[in-house]
Amino acid sequence: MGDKGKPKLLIEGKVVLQLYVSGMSLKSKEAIENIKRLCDEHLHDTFELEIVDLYKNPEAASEQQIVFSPSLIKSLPLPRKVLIGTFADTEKVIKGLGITFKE
Amino acid sequence: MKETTAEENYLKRIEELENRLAEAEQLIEAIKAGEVDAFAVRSDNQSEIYTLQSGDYAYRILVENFSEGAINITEEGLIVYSNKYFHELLGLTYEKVIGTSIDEFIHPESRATFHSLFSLALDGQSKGEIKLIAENKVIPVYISLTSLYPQLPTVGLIITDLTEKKENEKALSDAKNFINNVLKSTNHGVLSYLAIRENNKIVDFEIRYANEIALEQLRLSAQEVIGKRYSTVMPLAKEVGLFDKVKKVVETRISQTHEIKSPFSERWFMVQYVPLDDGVTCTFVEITNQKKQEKILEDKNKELEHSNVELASFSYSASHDLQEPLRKIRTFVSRILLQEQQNFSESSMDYFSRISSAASRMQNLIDALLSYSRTNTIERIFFPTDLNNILKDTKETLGEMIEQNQAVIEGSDLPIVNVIPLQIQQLFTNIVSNAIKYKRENVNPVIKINAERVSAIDIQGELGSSAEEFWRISFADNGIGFEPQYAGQIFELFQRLHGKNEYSGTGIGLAICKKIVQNHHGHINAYGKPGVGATFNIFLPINNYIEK
Amino acid sequence: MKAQCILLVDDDEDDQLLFLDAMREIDKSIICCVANDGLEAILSLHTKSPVPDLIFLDLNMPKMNGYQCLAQIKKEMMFKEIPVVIYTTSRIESDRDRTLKMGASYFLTKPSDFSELIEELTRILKLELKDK
Repeated sequence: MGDKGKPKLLIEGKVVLQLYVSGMSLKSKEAIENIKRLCDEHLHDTFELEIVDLYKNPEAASEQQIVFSPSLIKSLPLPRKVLIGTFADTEKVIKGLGITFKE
Repeated sequence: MKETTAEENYLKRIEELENRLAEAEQLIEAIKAGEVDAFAVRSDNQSEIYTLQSGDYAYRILVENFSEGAINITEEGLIVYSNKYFHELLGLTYEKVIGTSIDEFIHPESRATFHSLFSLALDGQSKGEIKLIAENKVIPVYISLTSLYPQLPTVGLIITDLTEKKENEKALSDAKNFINNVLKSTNHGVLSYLAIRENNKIVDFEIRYANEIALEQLRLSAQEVIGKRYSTVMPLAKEVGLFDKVKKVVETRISQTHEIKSPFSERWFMVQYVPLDDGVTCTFVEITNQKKQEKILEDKNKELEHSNVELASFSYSASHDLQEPLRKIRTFVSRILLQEQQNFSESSMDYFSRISSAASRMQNLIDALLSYSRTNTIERIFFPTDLNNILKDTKETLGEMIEQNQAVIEGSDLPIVNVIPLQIQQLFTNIVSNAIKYKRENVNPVIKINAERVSAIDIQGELGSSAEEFWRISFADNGIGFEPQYAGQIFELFQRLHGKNEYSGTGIGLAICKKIVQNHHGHINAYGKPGVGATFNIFLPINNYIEK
Repeated sequence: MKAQCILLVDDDEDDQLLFLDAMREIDKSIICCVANDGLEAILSLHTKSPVPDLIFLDLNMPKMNGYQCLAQIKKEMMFKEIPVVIYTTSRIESDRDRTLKMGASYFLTKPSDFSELIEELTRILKLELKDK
């Protein structure tokens, strides 16, 4: 077991994430809090997080036809993954992003 | 290899589809769970954002309820949105504001400004100060305009109420005016110093302010003084110790006042330092005149002292020289009487006797006059004195007279009073000896002496003191008394109520008493009833901090 | 028995007259000499023989006053044993204190009555003149 009982992640290279929010809303707030916590606790230094406010930056919907808020997109490592919601359940998020733990 | 089999392709495809399906499922789950606020859709190179209710709830509440005014107005100035604060600021209901032209609420003075701000805002943003008007109330405000085009063809305004700020500004401005006026109109010089520190120690001061009078005294212009360093503007100050004084005031936070003479002239100033922040406010005023007056008074007092001393010694030698011939007259006459007893006729003897008496009286007169002049020239030092001791001394001095006349003098519980001891002694002696002298025939003189505190209001007559309370010392005798109409006269110089054949005396004794009482800033009076007796009252002011 | 001699030092004629008159009433046998000021007194002491048995000394005199004279007398071996009575018009205590301190035997303020003068002189003579 690793220190403090937290399982270590098996990662090759950095995790690049984009978090889409919509200005001053409760869900945006929660999404930001939860993702930040997830990154600090589990990804340590191995991540890059960009937070995009759709209202400020509607052109974010350039790559994809439609972008939801709040939503989290993992650009790297491949495969690309998209998650929608406020991300309260950390484990589910990690699983959804396809990030595996080292045993 | 070309033989990526169709199976592998299919499997890959399936994995892709599985992923996409998982994503889509997750999306649907999220939407069903209400986890979505908004979404952005790209079409025709344009992005559109669709917001669900939850997405903009916070904004709406914020704008509607915060403590600034927020409105939207069309190009024509029609108010199409107003938050609560705005219409309440105008003192109007929402209904009266919505759909009204903003011009109705812009003060005529501000119309031009507002229109230019509005024009600027159509291209972006603008800010400025204007006045609103509603129900005859003028409201100064600060407005911030933002164009909301193209999504919403309006200009949004944030309105900040400046009333309180304006009031504060006015109060501040009024206060400034008042202070400036005071500084201009005072005859005091005023300067403000701010400490300049190195390693937290005061090494100099910056002169933040100096009023006109101060500048005049320094003979410098405002530019040469304000903002400059103390050591530059007043280089001598360190030498005469002024710099240290100022430093001390800053460090101890205790105000200081002192008098100082100008090093350039004969002018005197009174200077005061009061701590303020990390510095000092210095005020000074010229006191040259007062100093002159003080000096003149001092000199005059010295002159008077000197004069008094001279007079005292003159009086003594004058009285001594006047006494001499009288002594000789008396001695020779007494010689003659002794020698020629048998040869002279009775009337001759009698005449010689009268010569002697006359000479004797003159001697007494001269002594009394000397005594009278002394009441002014002798030292006037006040001392807390026990009057009981004074009375004791009086009884001793008049011992023979008391015994000869079988006089009884009663007095006890007399207070301790702040007096000139020798003079009070004289006073007591004079009054008591008078009381004995003017006894009734065959009646032993009884003199009762009493002391009582009285308030100034109850004393009739001129008081030389502003004291509120006095000691009344009364001497009541059972002698021959006197007619009431003479009550004032008896205190005058050389006044006698009886011929010198009836009673001896110089007529000076009571005048001396009056003089002594005056020296003590008190009062004396007398009441008499012929055939019954007389009462003499002396009033001495009570100095509360000395006496009990 | 040797006749006793008194020296009076006083510049005032009237006082001289009264003094001599009083002395005559008291004791005609006593010889009285007079000096008009301190200087004359010192000269007289040096020149006349014998020295007086008692000196009456006024204070206020020209040329040499009583204080100076008293000091001088008390300096000289020959005269300092002679009792000196200060005979003056002064009533001031400081004069009395000072002269007694300087060695005067008595301080007499000139009285205003002849009988009193006789009384005082009689008393002093008894005290200061020893029968030789």
